[in-house]
Amino acid sequence: MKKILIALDFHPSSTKIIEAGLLLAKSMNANVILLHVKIGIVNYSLIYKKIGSMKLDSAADLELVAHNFLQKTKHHIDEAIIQTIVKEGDFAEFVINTAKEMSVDMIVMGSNSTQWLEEMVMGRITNENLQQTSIPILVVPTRKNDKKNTLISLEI
Amino acid sequence: MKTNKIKKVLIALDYDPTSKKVAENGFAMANAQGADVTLLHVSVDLAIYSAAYADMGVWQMDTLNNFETHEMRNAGSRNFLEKAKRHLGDTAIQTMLKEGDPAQQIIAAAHEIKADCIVMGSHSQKWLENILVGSVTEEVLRKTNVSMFIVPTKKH
Repeated sequence: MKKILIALDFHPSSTKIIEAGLLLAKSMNANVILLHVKIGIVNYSLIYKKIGSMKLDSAADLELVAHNFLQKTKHHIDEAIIQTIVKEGDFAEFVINTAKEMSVDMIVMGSNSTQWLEEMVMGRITNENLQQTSIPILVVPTRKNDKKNTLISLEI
Repeated sequence: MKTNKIKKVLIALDYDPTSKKVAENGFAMANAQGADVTLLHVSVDLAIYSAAYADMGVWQMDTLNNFETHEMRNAGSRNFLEKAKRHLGDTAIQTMLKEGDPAQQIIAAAHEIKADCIVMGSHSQKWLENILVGSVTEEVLRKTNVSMFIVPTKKH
């Protein structure tokens, strides 16, 4: 059985990434691992200020929001065998480590995560362990203006 | 929401030995989804060189020689693509030859055949970077709905 890892952050376009990953998983008859990597709370409230309903005051809130987010998307798609993982820390590190640990065949991520992707693919990550991945990555296009909005809110 | 199922895949190949891996992985992914496959090779445009080096005095390139080299290169590239096609063993595969800047030409080719996924090897770092973060290509990728499938290839 093949395994596909769908790597998510809280970007508004995440559902699109999940959809693309699930379609691929379905056609490949693969299992799906939904990985959500949370970044630090401080960064979160700055970057995702614009996401109105998500008031993130504590780590516990964050956990709950992440859980709800994954539950919601899980409900939305329910076709494949899906496993969900929530981790906190560096996106690239957890994506690669999870991919290796679970020996996945493919990683699906959004183009909004290309900063991390660049680090992973272009070898800007200094950790050698992370550089040596041989797993193909599908990058799903996500709208750049969403990113712009979040960046603007970061500057305020 | 628009469906993200991949229908037309453009596989960009260069003369790197890892192209075999890129072609195989890309083809497997496309095949699983029942997508059409086009193999693309971009050769560097010699006209750019001769224009740039027009003032080189004694080292100036001979136009006739350029033409011959050019024809030979094209024949070589076609042969290369045919070999790749035969290796994958699917006669329905299309091949395409372009000249010029790889990043620009790959995007142009994707546009031309209305590809919804571009497959590349990660060794093509410079163009990969241009495609992921380049301003022209970013615009195209944002407006069109093109996914990127990146096959990790070891560095030399």
